[in-house]
Amino acid sequence: MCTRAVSVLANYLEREGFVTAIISLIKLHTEKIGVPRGLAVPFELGRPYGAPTDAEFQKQVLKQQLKLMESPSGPVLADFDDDPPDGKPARDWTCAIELPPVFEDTDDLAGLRAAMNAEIDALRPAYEKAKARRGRTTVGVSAMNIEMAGALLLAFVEDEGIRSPNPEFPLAMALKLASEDFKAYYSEAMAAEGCIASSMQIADWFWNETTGAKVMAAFKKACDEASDEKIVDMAWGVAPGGRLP
Amino acid sequence: MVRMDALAPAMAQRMTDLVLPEVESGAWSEAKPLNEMRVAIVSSAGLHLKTDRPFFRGDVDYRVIPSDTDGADLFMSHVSSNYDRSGFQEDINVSFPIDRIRELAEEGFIGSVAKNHISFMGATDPIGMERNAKEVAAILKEDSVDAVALSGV
Repeated sequence: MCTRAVSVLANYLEREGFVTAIISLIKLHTEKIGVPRGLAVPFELGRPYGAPTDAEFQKQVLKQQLKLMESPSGPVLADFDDDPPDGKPARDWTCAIELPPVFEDTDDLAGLRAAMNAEIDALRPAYEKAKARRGRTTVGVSAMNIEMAGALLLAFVEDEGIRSPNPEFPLAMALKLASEDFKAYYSEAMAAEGCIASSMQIADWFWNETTGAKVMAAFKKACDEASDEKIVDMAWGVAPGGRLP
Repeated sequence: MVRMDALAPAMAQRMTDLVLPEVESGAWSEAKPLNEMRVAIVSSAGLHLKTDRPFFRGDVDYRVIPSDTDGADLFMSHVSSNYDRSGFQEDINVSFPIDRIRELAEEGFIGSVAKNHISFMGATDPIGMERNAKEVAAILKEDSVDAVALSGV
């Protein structure tokens, strides 16, 4: 819960003599902890400055945050009332990429692996297009390519005794990073030019309409049942609340 | 505040039930005019250079992000899945306003931008970050930073 963290960090840094102001995504937490200066915003979690690619809106939020530093006395916790522009996602959006049918049998690991690889291949043109348009990708934090990341998740489902592919990362960490790359690949593929979806539409599509979600479900289940407590603990962050059992 | 009715019920309940630390919160530093202050960003979004070690569960340390970092060189390894990452994938500034703060300095709205910014990873009990916050303070003081704009995801 980041708002908890930045609320506490603001107090630590103010004590060191800095003038601090936070963006609070969860006003309830900031009210309870108390900060010198805070701007409570009505945006979704993950977007403290409101709207991607809307520089003017982001600047408006940042300026209001900074202006709090001119308050003659405090503490002050102000509200930013404007909703972010929504980028006009289509209400009836559906994924325009034709994917193979979802492979439902998560006990058939050979079948699941083949279906996962086919889906990764089907998404690749859109992923590459989005990467070229943005000039960057967030896939790669695990230091594995997407095929290796997916293969690692299913290798763990098959045998929890596998070794970490990276000697610098414990297995729990390597698995978590691979799972983040895996989800990011799908999410980024949805951002190919002309494919405007809201964050909720992207999440609904991934978790409800892809074999990738079945891979994540099998992986999460294996983590929950693992004998390594660090892996059980890590499993909490594998899927958003309510998306998987 | 994020709209609670836009959240999954389990997530909304978790937010309401989260145990919050008690922190001495009375500190107040006197500000100079905004256009005379040097400003740093401190994030808890789990951001780091691609060449840095990613964050993992329980980490209370931080990563330094030089102000001239290209967005293509930034990764996010926050351990939580309970927030949107597609915004950051599209535009880093939605959670780390590095281009916006440069523009505000160029426009004279703030005095200048710090040489370095900082990221923690916020899904950890922040009480454990106190010692590291002192280290961060030393880094920022060395650069004559006056003010800090904080945000998380």
